[in-house]
Amino acid sequence: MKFEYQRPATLEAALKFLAAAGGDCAPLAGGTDLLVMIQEGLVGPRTVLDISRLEELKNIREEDGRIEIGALVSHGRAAAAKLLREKAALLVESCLQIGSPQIRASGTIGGNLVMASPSGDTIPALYALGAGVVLKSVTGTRTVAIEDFFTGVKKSVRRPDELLTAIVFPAPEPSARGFYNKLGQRKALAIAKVSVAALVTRKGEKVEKVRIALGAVAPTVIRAPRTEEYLAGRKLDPETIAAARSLCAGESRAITDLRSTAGYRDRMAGLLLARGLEDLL
Amino acid sequence: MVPPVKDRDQGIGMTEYRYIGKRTPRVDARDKVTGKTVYSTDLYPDGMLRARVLRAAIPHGKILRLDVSRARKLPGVEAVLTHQDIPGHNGFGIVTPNWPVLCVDRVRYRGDALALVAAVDEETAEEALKLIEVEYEPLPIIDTPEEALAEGAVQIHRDGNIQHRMDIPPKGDVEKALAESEIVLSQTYRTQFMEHAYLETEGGVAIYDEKTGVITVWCGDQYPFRDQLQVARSLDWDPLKIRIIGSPTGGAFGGKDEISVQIHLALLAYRTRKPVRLHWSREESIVAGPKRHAMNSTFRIGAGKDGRLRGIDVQVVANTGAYDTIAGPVLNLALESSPGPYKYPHSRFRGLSVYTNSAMGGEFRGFGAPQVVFGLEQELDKLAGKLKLDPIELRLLNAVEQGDISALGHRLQTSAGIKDTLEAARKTDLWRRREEIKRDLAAAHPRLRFGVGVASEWHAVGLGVGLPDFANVTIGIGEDGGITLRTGAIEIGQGNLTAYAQILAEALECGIERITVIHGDTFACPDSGSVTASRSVLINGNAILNGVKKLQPLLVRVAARALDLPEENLAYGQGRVFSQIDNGRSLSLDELAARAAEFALPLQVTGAAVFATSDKDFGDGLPHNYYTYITQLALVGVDPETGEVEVRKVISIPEMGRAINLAGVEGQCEGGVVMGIGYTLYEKVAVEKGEFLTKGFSTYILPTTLDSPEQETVIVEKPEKSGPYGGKGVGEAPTVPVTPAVANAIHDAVGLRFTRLPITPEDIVAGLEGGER
Amino acid sequence: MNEIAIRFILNGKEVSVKAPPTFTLLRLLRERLGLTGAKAGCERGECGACTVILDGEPVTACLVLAPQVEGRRVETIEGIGNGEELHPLQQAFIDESAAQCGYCIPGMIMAAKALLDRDPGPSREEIKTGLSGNLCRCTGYTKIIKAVEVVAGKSRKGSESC
Repeated sequence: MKFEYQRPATLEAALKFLAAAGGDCAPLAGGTDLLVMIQEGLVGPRTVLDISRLEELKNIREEDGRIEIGALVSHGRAAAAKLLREKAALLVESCLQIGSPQIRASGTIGGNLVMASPSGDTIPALYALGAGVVLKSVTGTRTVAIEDFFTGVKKSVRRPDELLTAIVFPAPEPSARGFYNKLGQRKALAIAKVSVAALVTRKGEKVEKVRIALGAVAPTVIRAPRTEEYLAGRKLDPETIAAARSLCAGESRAITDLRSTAGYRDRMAGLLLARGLEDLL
Repeated sequence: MVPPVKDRDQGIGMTEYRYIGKRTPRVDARDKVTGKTVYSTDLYPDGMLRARVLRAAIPHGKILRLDVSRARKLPGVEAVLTHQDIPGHNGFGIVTPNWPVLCVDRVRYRGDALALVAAVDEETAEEALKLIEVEYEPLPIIDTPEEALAEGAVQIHRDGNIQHRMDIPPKGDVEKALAESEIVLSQTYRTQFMEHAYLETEGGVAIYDEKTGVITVWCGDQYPFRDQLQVARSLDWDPLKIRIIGSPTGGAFGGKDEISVQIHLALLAYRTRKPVRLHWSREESIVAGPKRHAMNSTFRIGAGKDGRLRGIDVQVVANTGAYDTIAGPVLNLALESSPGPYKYPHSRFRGLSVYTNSAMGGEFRGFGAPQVVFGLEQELDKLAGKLKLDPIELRLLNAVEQGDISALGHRLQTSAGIKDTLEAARKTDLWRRREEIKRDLAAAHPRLRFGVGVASEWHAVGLGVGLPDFANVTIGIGEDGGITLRTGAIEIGQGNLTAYAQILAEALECGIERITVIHGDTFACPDSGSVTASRSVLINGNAILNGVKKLQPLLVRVAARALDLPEENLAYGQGRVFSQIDNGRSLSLDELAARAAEFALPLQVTGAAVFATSDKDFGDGLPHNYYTYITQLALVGVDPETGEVEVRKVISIPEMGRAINLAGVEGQCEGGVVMGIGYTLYEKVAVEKGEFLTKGFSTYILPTTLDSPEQETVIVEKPEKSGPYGGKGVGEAPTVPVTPAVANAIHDAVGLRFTRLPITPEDIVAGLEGGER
Repeated sequence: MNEIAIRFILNGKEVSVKAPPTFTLLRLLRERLGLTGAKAGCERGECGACTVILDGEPVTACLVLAPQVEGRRVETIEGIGNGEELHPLQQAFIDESAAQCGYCIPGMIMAAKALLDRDPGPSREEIKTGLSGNLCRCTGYTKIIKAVEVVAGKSRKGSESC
């Protein structure tokens, strides 16, 4: 490992440093992915920019019906936050599914997004919540819809001079219910073989609106639009759920790799959705 | 008063012991829980260099050019060594030393070593590796024995691709027996390469002392005296000037019986005249070190309608990787283990061990047995199913007893408690109430199906007939009454040091706190053989008892002189020497120690023991004379939609003669079970075209706390009169039948049989779609 | 490589030590401070053998850069007893025969301590989750979980340790 280490005191200083570094600089948040990648020789930045102490990126708050989570909130802290437990339980569940207590204590919400793995546990939950990603640079701030943030495996629209500073999403309606279901190779320290998150808003007996996201079945996390469309306006009964299950499996575009097979993943995408919906009954 | 004299040599009566069979806390526990234990990879001597090994960039090929000149010029690099720098034999191997220390003109697997670097720091050593230039001519890559045995296949070694062939002399006429059997089952089972995954990877430090000519190597180890010889052979050095310190070791499971860093470290320390440290990365440990062999085992078993086994024919083909290490004996023990602890009038066992360019097959806890028992115990379950017999009944009907002739044809001369373990299994709540338990669980977990499975094993203890199977220890009593036991055995986690201290304290009838065990150092301890083959408690225990037998007369002699009494009127007991004619007069160990010093009579003895062997000799160490017997029960929950299996409970019922340490036996069972569950459901070293797809713990999946079952251990005792206090050994057996027990439980839950490991959720879902596999 | 000075609170005492900024906390502890209790098992955050407590949280020291601990509190296995007196977890690990080869044990005890510091009376399931980032190849976890349960049981109000 060879790199320089910088620890800016403020967000402003960090952004200035990034702008001047011209891309050869890796922001260090929780380090649970970055340091592994450096050790494996997958990346070799000239500078590691330690942003892990920027307190201004560690808040969780609700304002005007929008929930904002600072990029440096750890998975452990997010999972323990009262606001998120009450209003975004599916995100809390996804945080608890990450790695191990140690990884949850260090790894951050922002880091999980920047690493842009299709199996990142929080990503499907944030898709389901309709989140936006706040990117800051010395030239300004932009918010990108999470679905537009990822462009491929480990790729995103974040420019090298930008920092991901926060995740924002509208506070779900009180009647909304969601879930995050995952299958891994074991029950802890597990990378998702397939995962499904959904947020369902119901009016009376019928589904008013549903957002479904599938993890680890495509180069990025994907939505399941045909399944969503099918469910809208329907009552959640066993028959509807069965139909949604097979639609959803059809929308999965998995591949076979060391962790699982394409056929299994596609099928489980449907099953995990169906089980989540059944649990809402 | 004359003290009661215990029947120490027999030790099989109902005597109440002070230490034997108790939960004596481990002698090394305090240091381990405070972080004070110093493992060989915890050493960072002043002025040391960091070493790295250049490994083969391709799995199979000729080396056309190896140029280390640029690496040698890099500032901070103190040595770059190639095969030209090996003074002695360029090879190592427990049985056949054909595994190159550094390759000369050919690489045969991805873990092959080509060059060594020692530099001032890790970064420079790493940099130097990149400056070494190697030009290869690739050769065809062989992954499997089928490819290796195909006509026209490239020859991995001069003598061909068959490493070893073993045909045990047939017993009776198995073909006739199968033809006449009312039921004949046949099936091939396939198992994967498995990684030991000790938490401490291979590593250590070496220092060369120019004044004395001694090269000292601290390393993770199982047999320091063999390492001493192997290092000396490659360095062309006096073995008595090679000091190996191998204890304690952070897990070994068979994987550290072979050379890893030892020769490389010694070469570099000798060349640089500086301390050198080498610690394999996790990836290096997976790629370069030996694995549990992948094997294909084909069973043909015949039985009568009455459930009696008539004949068994087994053929095993092992994927042994590029070199020998100890592959022959592993294959042999697979064959010996394959019939299980059952009687068959007719049998035939044949095996082939085949070279490939895949992972290196080697020694691994279980030593060939897990691969075959996975198959056998499922075949027996199938047979019970066909006969509508309770699976335990079927096993009991065929189980061996002491004095019986085994499936292989040798007489079982030592304690054989398989029936006792099966009877105990039958009495467990889990077995008796299994239908009710499954029903209750299914009611509570409607998405799951539950099953209970059983499996048994006999596991050989000791190296086998014809092999040097011994241990030596020394016992000394110091002036202060402290007792020092020295053994070459290594503490790899199994708890043997504690067992030795218990045996010695029991035999001397003294407090265990008096005893210090010095272990695993070739300059401080006698040769006690390897800690392998579940052998170390039996053989070191017997050596200790032999030493005590010699120590007691010395103590009596001291007492005779101190008390001025004839020796024949004195006797040792209760930690003292008593006068038998003169009531009340006795000397304590402390007094005896002090008086011995005064008289300049050294209280120092050597104890020795050799394994008793079988009445037959089939060659190559077969067969064995001692066995651990074990039955295990597993309760699983299977989610038929996701295919996920949760092992909820495992009960281990071992018969290891006598349990020396109850917590130690439980610990071996509990750890063996989780390792076995890993083998069954999660673990696989994936190699394709010689390339490793699993290189770390994110792809090589070990069970965590959340994947591990509730466990219970029911110890069955059947003391073996030739073992210390009746003890045999228990290190390996508990990791073996758990695999077919889980497989049988999965069958009980969802009606599927699996012939390939690991059994994955993908397999189960596919199986439920397509019927039996 | 140029080295920088790093000051932090190690087991309650302030220390200042020089190291290259590329050093991990694990290497800093082992190679510069002589504390070899935290072990290198994978150096990728996947085994937990290097677990230490950083500002009250369990972390894998192989995934923390040395300069990141500047000014922060680090607890290691060497600091949790009180001189000759053992921490209750250490005593329980001895009593329950929870250590075999022992290589995972310092990390295991630190993960358990982080759990109990936060919640002195966790349930069995919470203990298993709390230790789920620490691999052990010897014990099957049974006696480790039991040892932590014994300590937790003493804190659980009105409940017997089981």
